[in-house]
Amino acid sequence: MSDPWARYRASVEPTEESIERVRARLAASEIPDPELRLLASPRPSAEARVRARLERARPPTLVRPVLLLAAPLAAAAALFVALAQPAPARQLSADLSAETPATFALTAEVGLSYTGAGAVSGTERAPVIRWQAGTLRLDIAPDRGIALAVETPEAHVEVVGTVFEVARSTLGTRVDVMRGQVAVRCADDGERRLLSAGGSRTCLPTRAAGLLVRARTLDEAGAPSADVIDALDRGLALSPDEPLRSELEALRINALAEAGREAEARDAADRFLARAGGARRDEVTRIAARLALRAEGCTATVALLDGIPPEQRVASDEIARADCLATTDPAKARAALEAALALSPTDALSDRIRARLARP
Amino acid sequence: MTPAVPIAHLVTAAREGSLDARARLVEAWLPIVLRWCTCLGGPAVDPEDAAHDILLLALTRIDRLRDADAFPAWLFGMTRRVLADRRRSAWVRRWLPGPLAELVDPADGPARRHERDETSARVQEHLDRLPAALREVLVLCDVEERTGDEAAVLLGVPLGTVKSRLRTARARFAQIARADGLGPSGERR
Repeated sequence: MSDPWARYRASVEPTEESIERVRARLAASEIPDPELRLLASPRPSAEARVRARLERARPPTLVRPVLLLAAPLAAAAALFVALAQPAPARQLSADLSAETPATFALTAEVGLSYTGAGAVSGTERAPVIRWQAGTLRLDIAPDRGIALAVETPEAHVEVVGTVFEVARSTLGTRVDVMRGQVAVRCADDGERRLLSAGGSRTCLPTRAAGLLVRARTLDEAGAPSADVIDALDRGLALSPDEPLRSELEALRINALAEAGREAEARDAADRFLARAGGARRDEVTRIAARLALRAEGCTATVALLDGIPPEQRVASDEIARADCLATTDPAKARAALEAALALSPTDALSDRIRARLARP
Repeated sequence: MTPAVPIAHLVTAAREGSLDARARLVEAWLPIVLRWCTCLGGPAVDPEDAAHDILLLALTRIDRLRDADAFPAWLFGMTRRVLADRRRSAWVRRWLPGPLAELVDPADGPARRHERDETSARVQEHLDRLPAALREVLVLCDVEERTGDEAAVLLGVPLGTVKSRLRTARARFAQIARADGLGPSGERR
């Protein structure tokens, strides 16, 4: 067993005892019965009452005779215009929605493969696909005069005869070109760029909320902190209102601290704490306390942690306080440990706190 | 290493409320989820706690899963999200100073981490230093010895992406291991 991977593999194999502990906890947990969800469905009588109220809320009936006259007139006018014009290209209209890969021929010249959701409009010669989420791959016969466009909230992609893929996710819209050439215009900078085979471009979300989601996705995927911070800076540059601003700032402070940019993180945390309340205040206070501990020591750390209301503290807040107060105020340190014991999320941590409390 | 049980049938029955099917799903997937939590959770996450929460969440939401065959990928996605949440909320444990740091260091937590030898602990440390995307592919392919296709399904990415991530992950891991003096034999130099 000299191979590190073999040793590691053996060491992470769950033991029977460990499996049994989780199994026992699951058995003791309350798992909602799926049928209970049905209780939340409205009863037919309730639905009928809502329909009746909507019926009463409709516009006065005087409007209806006008609509009844206008509709045939409009239809006759449309028919006249249609007959007077040369036959238009066939209109396309379809919703695309598939959880597993789906493939079909949109027209004789355009093949689609997709997983996700969107809608097709336009004409046979100039289809327009509004893509909402997922991956869309298009195969367009070259030199047939097909002018296809794909639109997402972040990107406008134009193509004449090629194979390419559009993937829309929480990170934005990514375009990959397999064959031919496409023009991509990102909504955030408006710049139109030509992509050739093998090329790709990602258009970032254009709204602060979208950029926050991008940052969170990058963070969860373990992307470099610089990319996370870039998304957050772009979101903050859009001057979002609360609580979005606080969400962006709090995640940015965390990312700066994770990236080792501690002075910037501390400055940003101080500005945040001077300005904002809300749900992220305690989290930012903890980050500031951590940074203060490294830069200034225990006094500043305890002052910050004391700013978190006792009912909002978690076990690690109290443990940090206890650690800092151990030499200067043993009584307070002990009280903090007792508070930590009450807040302890795991049995293992509780046991260790008890052992610590038992020491003189 | 995927359990040899008709997953789609079990999932369908579990969605319909079969307690037996739920129990069999837990039986089949608990060890796998526990291993994912141990390998991917990092030092701040208690694997048993996380595995419990993931399976509870899965059983609670199983009626929302439309494609029964997609259960493994769905469960892995859930694992990934729960672990990410836990890492974020437990970050404060990483910086506690002084003698009390031991109180919140789950290095010898209930998942028998204390039984690991030094080499295994170092492999875990190096894994924890990799970005999540690389760590995941390395655990699925090199620890659990899944094929590229299996990993692609679980991760929800194309096979080519799995291959390129795996190349990068192995190179990055080797670089970290070399810098730390963990030789190819697994012994400390």
